Amino acid sequence: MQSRLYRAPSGESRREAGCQVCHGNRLVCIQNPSLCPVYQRAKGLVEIERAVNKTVFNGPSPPGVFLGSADYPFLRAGPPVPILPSIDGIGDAAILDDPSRWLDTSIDDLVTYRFSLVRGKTRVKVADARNPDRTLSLVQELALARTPTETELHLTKKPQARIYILPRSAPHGPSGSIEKMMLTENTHVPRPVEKVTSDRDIGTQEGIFSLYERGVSQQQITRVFSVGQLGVFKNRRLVPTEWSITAVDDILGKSILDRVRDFPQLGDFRVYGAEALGNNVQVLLLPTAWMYEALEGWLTASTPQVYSDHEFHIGRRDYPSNIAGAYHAVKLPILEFLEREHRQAGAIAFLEVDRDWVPLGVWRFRELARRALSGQPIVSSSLEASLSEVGQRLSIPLRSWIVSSKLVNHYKRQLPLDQFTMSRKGA
Amino acid sequence: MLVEKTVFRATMSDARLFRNLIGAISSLIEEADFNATPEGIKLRSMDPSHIAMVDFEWPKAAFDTYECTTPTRLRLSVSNLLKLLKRTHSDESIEIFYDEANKKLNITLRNKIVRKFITPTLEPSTEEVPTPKVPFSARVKLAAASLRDIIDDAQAISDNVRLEVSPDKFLIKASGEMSSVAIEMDKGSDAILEIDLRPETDPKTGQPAATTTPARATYNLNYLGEIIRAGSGASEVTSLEFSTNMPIKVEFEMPQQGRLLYYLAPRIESE
Repeated sequence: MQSRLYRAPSGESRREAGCQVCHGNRLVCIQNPSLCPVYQRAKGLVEIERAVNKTVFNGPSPPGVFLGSADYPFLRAGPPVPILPSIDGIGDAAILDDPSRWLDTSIDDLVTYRFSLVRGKTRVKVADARNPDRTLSLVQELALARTPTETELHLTKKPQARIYILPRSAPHGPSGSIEKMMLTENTHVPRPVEKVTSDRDIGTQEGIFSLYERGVSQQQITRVFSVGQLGVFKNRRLVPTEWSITAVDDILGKSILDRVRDFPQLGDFRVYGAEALGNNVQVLLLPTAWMYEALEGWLTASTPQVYSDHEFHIGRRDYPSNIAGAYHAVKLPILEFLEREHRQAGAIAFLEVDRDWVPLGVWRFRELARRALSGQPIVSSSLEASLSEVGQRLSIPLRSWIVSSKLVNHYKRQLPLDQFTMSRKGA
Repeated sequence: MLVEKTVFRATMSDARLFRNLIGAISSLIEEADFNATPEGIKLRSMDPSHIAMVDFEWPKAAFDTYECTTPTRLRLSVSNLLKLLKRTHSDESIEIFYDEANKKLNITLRNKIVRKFITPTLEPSTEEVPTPKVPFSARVKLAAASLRDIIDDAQAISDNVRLEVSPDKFLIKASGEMSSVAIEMDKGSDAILEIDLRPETDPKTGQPAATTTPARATYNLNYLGEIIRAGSGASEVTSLEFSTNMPIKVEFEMPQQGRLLYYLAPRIESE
């Protein structure tokens, strides 16, 4: 598995994990938390200083795991545990680390969720996946669980009240080095997870797809993959959370695409859309063979610019380095939709990020695309009509999107070969 | 015992060559019909987006042994077939046998050990794939490796490439958002084996024009790149034929009257 392929490129980090203060340079915010708007917002919501004024934390881990990639091939691995005995209105700790349930939550609540978890950290090496020490093996055990597990975390010292913003995963609050950790109840590991992770001969991609087909949530698949519990045993390694999010989107997308390519083409143009949390996702489907483009426009920039990556029917060989994580996160729900409909189509995704968004992760594009495609489309018979429908739903002017779109240009300018053929009967 | 008649069986001493040929087809096509006749095998298939087409022919004489008693159409998943052929080692020979009773293709790789792969065939399509009927005015013959380098350069910069042939020059231009590249090859250049330019043919009357004008057309580099990469793995010499705003025919020279050629439809650029 060439996981390093999935590292976040600098443009993605700057836009996804940046604000007007730090522009994605995390050191700025880590060294001066008082300048970070997200930190200030979080501080207003959670009584953080009082909550972290101790070294022992008890509570249900959502379950979750985070593996930081800062000094790869060494990783900081560890589980999140709630810092407050109870968070008002939250009966179920699982929601704290489950993006598939976040779309209808307010940004303030999401910041609160993330800031209410303390993350333990232990320094491990990628290959330790096969030979974990006691702490890492508990982290792995936790990651396999489907429901929250009571966990006791002893840190070497009181954690610092900080927030860590990341390009793809949701941000993290306070963290500290693990002195020891214990699981104070048994984990609930679903049967498919137990079966696939204990199979030492099944390949990584096959393992991921088999979990997906058996209905294991994508969030959990990513967790299991990240802690190095999938794949042929001698190749198993730990994968930073940031990379594993995109790797799982990409691998699932590829398997579904193999099937989608066999389906007949859609018969009309369709526009699907959804908005939440300051993000707007519009999906335009074209009556063509499969091809895909993701366009991303940020209203947070002083002059909004549209970024793009695309693939034609024959696929792409290199990494979509302009859009990166969001490219694969949106491609997957589109392919899931096409598979359900038994159709193939060209797809152009318009992803617009409003000023009131704070960096909370790439999941919101995936979940918004899923919601968009489960709604009713506006159907039309021409590209122009659909584009103008999309234009009405977005804030950045339509022409900026069109200028950046390679597939709109391709659709308008590429001639079909059929135009130059004469059937042999006619010849 | 009932002896079954062999419908199709062929062998080649170099399994790698066969693998490269299938690799060249798989760059555009996922599934295709192989037509086996007593004269050889043929495949012609349009890519699913109807932009490009592959035309492949491997005559009886290009195999070491060849036997086909009844014309047979075998539909195969090309990517699946390639997956098996990727297992070939150097110095291995290959035997392809169609097991008609079970509708399966048997592939045997032989060296010190004998390995037999069996893969299912699919339901053949009834569609006839028409050939583009295009009068070409320009023809350039050049080393496949040089063309591959040029296309790689262009692909680093843009999604499209403009080709231009004048009587003594082959010009390749690509421009992207930031930068552009122009590659010029004179008739005398080492990489060029042949340049030929004739007057364009009027598409309505079919008559050639009175004067010769340079041929200019633009193509999608993603597709052209796949074609050139695929073909240059199986051949050393390529010829390009096209006319202004018409499809391009990319042909790779093959031994023993073997044939590997592609068509790619043009893009129409606003002037």
